[in-house]
Amino acid sequence: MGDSDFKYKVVMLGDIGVGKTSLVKRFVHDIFDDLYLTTIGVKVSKKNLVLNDDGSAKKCDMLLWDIGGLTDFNVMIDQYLQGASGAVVVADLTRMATVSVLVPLVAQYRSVNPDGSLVIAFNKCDLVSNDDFSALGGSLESYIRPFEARFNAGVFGTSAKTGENVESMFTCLARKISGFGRRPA
Amino acid sequence: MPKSQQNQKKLSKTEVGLVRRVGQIDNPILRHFIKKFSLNDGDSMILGVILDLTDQMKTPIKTTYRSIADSAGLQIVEAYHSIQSLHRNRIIEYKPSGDYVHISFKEIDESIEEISLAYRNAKKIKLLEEQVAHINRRKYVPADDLFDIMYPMIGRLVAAKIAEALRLMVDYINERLESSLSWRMWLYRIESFRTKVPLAEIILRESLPYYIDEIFLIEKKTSLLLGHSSRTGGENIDKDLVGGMMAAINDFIRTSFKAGKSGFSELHFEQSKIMIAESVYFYAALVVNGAPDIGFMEAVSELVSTVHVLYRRQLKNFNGSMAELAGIEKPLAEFIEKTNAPRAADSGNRHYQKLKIAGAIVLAALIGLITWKGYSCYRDSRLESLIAERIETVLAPYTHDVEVDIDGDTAMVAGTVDSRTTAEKISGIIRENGGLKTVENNAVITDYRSVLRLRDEMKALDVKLQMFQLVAVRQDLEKIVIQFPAGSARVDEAQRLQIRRIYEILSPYPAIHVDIVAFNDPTGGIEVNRRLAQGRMEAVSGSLKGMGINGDRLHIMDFSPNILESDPRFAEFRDRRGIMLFAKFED
Repeated sequence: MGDSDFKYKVVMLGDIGVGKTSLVKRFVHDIFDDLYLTTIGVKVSKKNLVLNDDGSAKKCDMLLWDIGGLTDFNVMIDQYLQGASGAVVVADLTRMATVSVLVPLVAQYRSVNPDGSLVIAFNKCDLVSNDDFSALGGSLESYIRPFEARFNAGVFGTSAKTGENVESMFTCLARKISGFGRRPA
Repeated sequence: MPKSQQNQKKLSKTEVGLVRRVGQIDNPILRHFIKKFSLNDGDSMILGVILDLTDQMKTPIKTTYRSIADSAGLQIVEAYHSIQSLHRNRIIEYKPSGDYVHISFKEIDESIEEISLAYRNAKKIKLLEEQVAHINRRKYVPADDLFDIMYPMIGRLVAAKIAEALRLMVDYINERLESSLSWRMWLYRIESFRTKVPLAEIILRESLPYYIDEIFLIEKKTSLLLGHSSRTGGENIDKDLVGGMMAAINDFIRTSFKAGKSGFSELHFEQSKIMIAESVYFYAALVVNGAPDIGFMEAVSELVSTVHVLYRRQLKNFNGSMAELAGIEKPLAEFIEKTNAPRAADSGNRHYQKLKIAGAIVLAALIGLITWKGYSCYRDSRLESLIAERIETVLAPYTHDVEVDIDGDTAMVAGTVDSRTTAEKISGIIRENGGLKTVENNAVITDYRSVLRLRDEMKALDVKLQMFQLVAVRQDLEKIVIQFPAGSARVDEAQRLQIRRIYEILSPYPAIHVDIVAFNDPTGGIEVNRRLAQGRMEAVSGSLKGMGINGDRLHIMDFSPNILESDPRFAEFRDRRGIMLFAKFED
């Protein structure tokens, strides 16, 4: 089937407007209209990655399920989470309320996929500066790092606008899912 | 001691062999009697032999005890007692007659078909029992495995039930359609008769053509595309994405509309539809254009079962590795090819195909007709030769002059015979050849010797007449000397008039030929005269041919300067100079 060695289902989770769709659009192969997000609550895109596994290159296809506005599709979310090997849970650094949603979202994902891999994307990092986090500990890094241990997940400050950390975030997730080597080929 | 016990005792020597042989019997009627009357092995063996001899109860027989005993591998006395026992059980009738015995079967309540059906069902039940026993023997069978094992069987049973229901519908439609008498219906009937496919199914096929565009195999849990095959093989669109969205839409519909988990569901769009058939681990989404026929769902279920059986272990623990599913697309491609094969051609070129078929039928009919006609002519001609040869061999000379013309199974005789006896002999000779149903003997009985004599006289007169004609033509021709101007071989008006006259003399007598001869003035050189004479003779010959005289009748004589002296035929034309024509019969 095609020329990929592995295929994985990855779900994109996060509150409305955190930038899930923008993150997906930044690098993935996309053929469907965003209209699907508002009609059936999901749009599938594909990200091709090549991972280095003990010297050999492995081609992986990540089928990214961009799950739309959660509040409108609560009925559907468990169904869409079924069979996901990994998840990208996204929060908006400019809206702290979206960070608080991370906890129930991760819990929901874990309940459906206990062995699934996970990364947390703190998006729109281009819109904030370290000064904004002085009250919370001094820097962006110091703010997001504790979530790594809390959710047992990789955390990344990302920007769909500049592309910062987007590629590395998806690659990290693919490595976690596949168990392949640490460095991209 | 009861006789049955005696039998058991006597059979003890061969008991092992008999039991084995009886166990091997695969005859439902024999098994029926054995079960119904609890027959012992000896009686069973004898009954088996009698069933064979009577063609399974159909034909009474006359045989000997020895013959039956030998066939059963038993002693004569054992065969005798077994026959008695079968008679007491009211299975057979028997009547001794000297060294022989007449045996026939009593009528039974059950029909042979009923017995056979019961036997087949019993075998199926036994097979099922064996499978259940096999499962029972295993200490632990995980529920998933049990379901995996049973799934193909269940799938087929369900598919068979669906097919059965559809067949009932076909029967119903058949009944309704049988009453119709339109010309199209007769075409469908002919097609149904030719292909042995029910009439209703033919009509549905004709009315509702379809073909499969795509098949997607989608893993149920992850919604990942496991395999895909397409009618066109087009790669313009990412199938993983299409498969993923298809799965998402399917999930959406299921969840939103509380759809059940039945094996089939459909999504319609314009002329196409997505038909979904589920397995335990995957579902097959088929993009179908048109209206599938009766066997389609059954075939799809069969496809799903096949993939399930081939890949169930890999799919059960699917971890995203596609290498383990190598070859999964092959059955999909084969299914599309098999399903579309007769229809792809239909869909676009249906009328052209029909035209081609009609053309082929007409052509075949024409070839057949010509071949048959040719063969008939050849056969008739060959038969005519054989009969003519036979007549000449059998009948005395000068007793007959007949022609036999054969057309199909009719022989017609025309001509003359010397007596009625000869005519009858000729008819008899013709009838000796099989296949000729009718002999029309129109031969006229006459004084044959007188006829022959008259015929000879007629021939002589005819020759004389021709001679007279030749003389007359020759005399007319000898009056004409075609003269050319000195040194010229050109046909001008004067020569053309003479040649026209020659044509008028010759044309009524096609049997008469002419020699074209040139008489030249000896003055001038020989070679010059030869060329000139040759040219003039060819000019005359050419003109006559141009007027319609067959060239084979015109013979140009070699030029000879001394022809008048050397050939006595031309002695009387010593004073002539020019081209002359002399009539003659063909050499």
